[in-house]
Amino acid sequence: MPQKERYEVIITSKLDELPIPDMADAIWARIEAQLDLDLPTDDNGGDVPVPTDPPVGTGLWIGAAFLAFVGALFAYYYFQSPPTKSQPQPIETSSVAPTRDTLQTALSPAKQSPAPPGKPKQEAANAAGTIVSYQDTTTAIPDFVKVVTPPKDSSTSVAAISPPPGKQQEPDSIPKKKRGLQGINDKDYRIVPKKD
Amino acid sequence: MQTIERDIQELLDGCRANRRSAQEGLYRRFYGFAMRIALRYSRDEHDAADILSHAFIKVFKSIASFDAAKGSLHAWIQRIVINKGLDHIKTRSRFSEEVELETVDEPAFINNAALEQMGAEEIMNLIKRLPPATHAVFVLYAVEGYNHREIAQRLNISEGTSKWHLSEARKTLQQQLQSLYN
Repeated sequence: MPQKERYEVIITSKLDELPIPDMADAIWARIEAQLDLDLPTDDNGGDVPVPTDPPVGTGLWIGAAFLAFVGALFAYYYFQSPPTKSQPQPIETSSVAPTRDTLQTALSPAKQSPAPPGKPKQEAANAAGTIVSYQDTTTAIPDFVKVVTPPKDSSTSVAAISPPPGKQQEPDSIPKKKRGLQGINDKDYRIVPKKD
Repeated sequence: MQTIERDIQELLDGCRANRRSAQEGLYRRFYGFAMRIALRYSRDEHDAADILSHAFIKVFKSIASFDAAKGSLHAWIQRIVINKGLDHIKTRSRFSEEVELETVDEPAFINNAALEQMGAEEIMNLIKRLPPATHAVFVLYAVEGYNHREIAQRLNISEGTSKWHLSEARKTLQQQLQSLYN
């Protein structure tokens, strides 16, 4: 320890005379609160050893309970949430006239029926769009062709694909040209088991 | 005297058993002693309260490591309070090696007569005006009695930097004393 100079001795002795602020209770309250967190005790005089290692089993149970809770939340929201609504997609109107096969496919009874539950409505809307496109780009429409009106509940799709009302009611000025083989209708494609 | 030692030993035993009443007893017994040390490293009472609370939490957490054969309880608590005081000063200042100088000026003359006329709080106010690192070195050297090698180790600076801070502290104090008494 170095020999103290005179000014150091004076300063040290003066600093020892510093008045002590009366903050003992307030500081103890802070210390006690921190000790309750770090070194908890059931004190009121009782002896409680200082914890050395955190209890491992408790931590595992807490972790497992947390994981189970998160899993239950996920399952609840997954099964309770309504089916996602598909955004109405813009319908592509092809400028190329559909082939005979596509037309027949589109007009087959299976396709005219409303979309089965669970199937996206987009498929039906596309099929209707194909028909409308055909109607726009050709002048001759077979008699059996009927404009498919989309289901009433799909308001956005109806607005997108339904033709203007005036145009729909116009009588055809050009005689319709028959297409396909004459004398063959849907009944001819029906498969009937042979009778022995 | 033996009664005091016995009381302290009982408090120590209670603290080792994590008894809150014993911890409070030890804290209140050493409050004045520890607060006086904490005030040297702080700017105001609130800083000192922070230093003291951190120091006693450290005391209670590491009470099992205290060995009476290696030193007194006073010295052990004093070292903990000083360490917490230095930690507090370090939060206010960066102890940089950049200030190290090749040469250190001769110690400035300090007017002892002027110092003796001053009160404790006036002197403490002079010390508080020093830059944080200079403040720490000055208190450690002039009040606590550490040498430059020990200060360098504690503050993680070189001995030259410690000497430079002490010289700066003396010069600043002398200037302040002159401005007060001229």
